[in-house]
Amino acid sequence: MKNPEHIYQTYIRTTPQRLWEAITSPEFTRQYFHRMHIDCDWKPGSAVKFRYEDGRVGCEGTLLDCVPPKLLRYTWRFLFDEQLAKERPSTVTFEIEPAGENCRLRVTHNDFDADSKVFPMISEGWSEVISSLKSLLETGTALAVAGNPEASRGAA
Amino acid sequence: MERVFKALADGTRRSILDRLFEADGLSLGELCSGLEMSRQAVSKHLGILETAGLVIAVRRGREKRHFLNPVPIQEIGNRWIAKYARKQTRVIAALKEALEEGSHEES
Repeated sequence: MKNPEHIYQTYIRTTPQRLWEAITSPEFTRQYFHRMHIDCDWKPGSAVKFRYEDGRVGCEGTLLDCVPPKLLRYTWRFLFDEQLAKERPSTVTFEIEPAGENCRLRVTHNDFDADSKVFPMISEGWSEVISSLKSLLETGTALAVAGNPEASRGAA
Repeated sequence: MERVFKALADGTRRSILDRLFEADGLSLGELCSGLEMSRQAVSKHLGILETAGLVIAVRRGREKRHFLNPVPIQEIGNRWIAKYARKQTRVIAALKEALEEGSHEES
């Protein structure tokens, strides 16, 4: 059986630099990633943590690749639920490619075990997060749904 | 968005998306085995879905695998459903689902 994997892709009217900034700076992630801000020193091997305002960590992992403004890859562990937090970490990869006046953003979430319980839960979450990121970069406003942890509880 | 609506306007293409939703990352051969049509026809439908961004084809080892990309559908939702009718349609969709439970015929 193939190990489960999800790929998400969208085109965003922005520059690779701005898109890179949006996926790596806490001020940005807070606006579209369930109000969590990313915390990392961007050295491969370092911890990546997604924190709520009150300091609680919602997801965490280890930075694997950091090639601005093209490739970002980190492992990812879901901490919202005690049972799910026991699963081994999966891997999230962001690839940014210029495409005319737009940028292509491809997010691959893989390296799950075949029977992963986290995998089926994250699908909708990523679609919301990515379209909210697109909205933030193109219009200056993130979508309400992905910024609201209650509305998207249990999703990535 | 035009390309997404056009790609979704065909029953075979919608059933390809449904199959990928059930089992993502299928090869062309695997997709063909569940559909009663030629490899060539399936390949053509996949091309339209790829152009619309609804399917992403990537190489994994020796084979090309096809992944459902839900982001364009999310964007249609944001643009068309959230704006006009999310609350109202949710109630009606839930009612329809409850009444049709057990029947998965395409409408």
